[in-house]
Amino acid sequence: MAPHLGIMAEYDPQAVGRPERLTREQSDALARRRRARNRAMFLVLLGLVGLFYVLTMSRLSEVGDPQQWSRPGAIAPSR
Amino acid sequence: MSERVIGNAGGARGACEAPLDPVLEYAGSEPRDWLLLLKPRVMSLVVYTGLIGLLVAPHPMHPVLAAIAVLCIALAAGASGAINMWYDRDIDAVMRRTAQRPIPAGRISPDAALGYGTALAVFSVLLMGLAANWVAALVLALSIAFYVFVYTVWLKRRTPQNIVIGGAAGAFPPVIGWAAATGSIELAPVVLFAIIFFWTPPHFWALSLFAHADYARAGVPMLPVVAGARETRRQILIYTAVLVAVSLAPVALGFAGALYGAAALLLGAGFLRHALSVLRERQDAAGVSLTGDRAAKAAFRFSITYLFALFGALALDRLVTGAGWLPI
Repeated sequence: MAPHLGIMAEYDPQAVGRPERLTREQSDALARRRRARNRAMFLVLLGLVGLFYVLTMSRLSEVGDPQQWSRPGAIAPSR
Repeated sequence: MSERVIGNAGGARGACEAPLDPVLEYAGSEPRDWLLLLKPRVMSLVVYTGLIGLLVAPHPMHPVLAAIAVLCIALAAGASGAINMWYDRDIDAVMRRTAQRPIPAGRISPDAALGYGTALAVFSVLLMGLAANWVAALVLALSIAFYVFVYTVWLKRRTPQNIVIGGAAGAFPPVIGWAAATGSIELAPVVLFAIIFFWTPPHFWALSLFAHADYARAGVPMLPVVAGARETRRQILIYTAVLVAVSLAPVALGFAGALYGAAALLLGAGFLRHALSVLRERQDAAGVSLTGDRAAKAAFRFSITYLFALFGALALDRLVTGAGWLPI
């Protein structure tokens, strides 16, 4: 094994407290929970994208048509 | 969200965490645990009162931005709850009611919970500033800081007045909702703040009457633990009477009409009846219930209904009279 791989393994947070061998039951439980966490994280990130999209659109609809602003490049006043 | 906890490796204070199933211990948290960290049951009341504060404000707000403002209130409440669970992990582990929370049960490490709560708190304040305005964001930040530093860190373990003063933290949401819609703070939301402020002691003291063994075991100086059950019963009645008087203030100030006034009187009479039942419940010389705290449990349940119904009546009253901006 290359030395750098050895160093990485030493600092792998996933390896902290990991048993030498996993039983089938432990392995299944680990995989199931990791999958569930990954799915949840995906949904959270997707939600964030949607959230900032609708926030931007709603803010823009509040300030009206940029073409009508009095000077080019002006920032519409926020409440 | 990938934090894993191996036993007590996260460093919880004290060695009082519950022993774990070794398989589950190794497998770590589920998404549900991260939701539980946000204290969703407490959050519902906070979101509701914040929404009412927003709806009864006289200034219209874009519905999507209003929804995001309410989301911010929910996230901030959840963040406060997560940080509270991080700080209180030692006493949560010895209280039966809280021993299965994700941190004392070892499913989420204390460090991960603190990071999660802090990140959510910062995010909710910034999002509120972007979606609504910075006045609302400032009040939101203040409410988080009050809950974490004043209630959780300073008062909770030091004084039986913990939930009286600390209760202010839970009273902020209608002020935040109003500020999100109007960009200002006026007398009306301050009155709503006062209603929740005076509602909190009888609500929590009713709970602590039948959960005082838990609090005593954890060394939390709740009123029944320090001053005894008899004094707690007396204080519940006094604060309920003050609450009923304060709940009529919106009518006196012309902020609400007859519909709300009638609801406040009826609900107030109901709450007073429950408080009197708690005072007169069959008890021993120390004031400890001989009926399994039936009256205190009923008063606790009614207090939740009371707040939901009172704020609902206010929104309905403003809707009917056209004083709020909510379109019919």
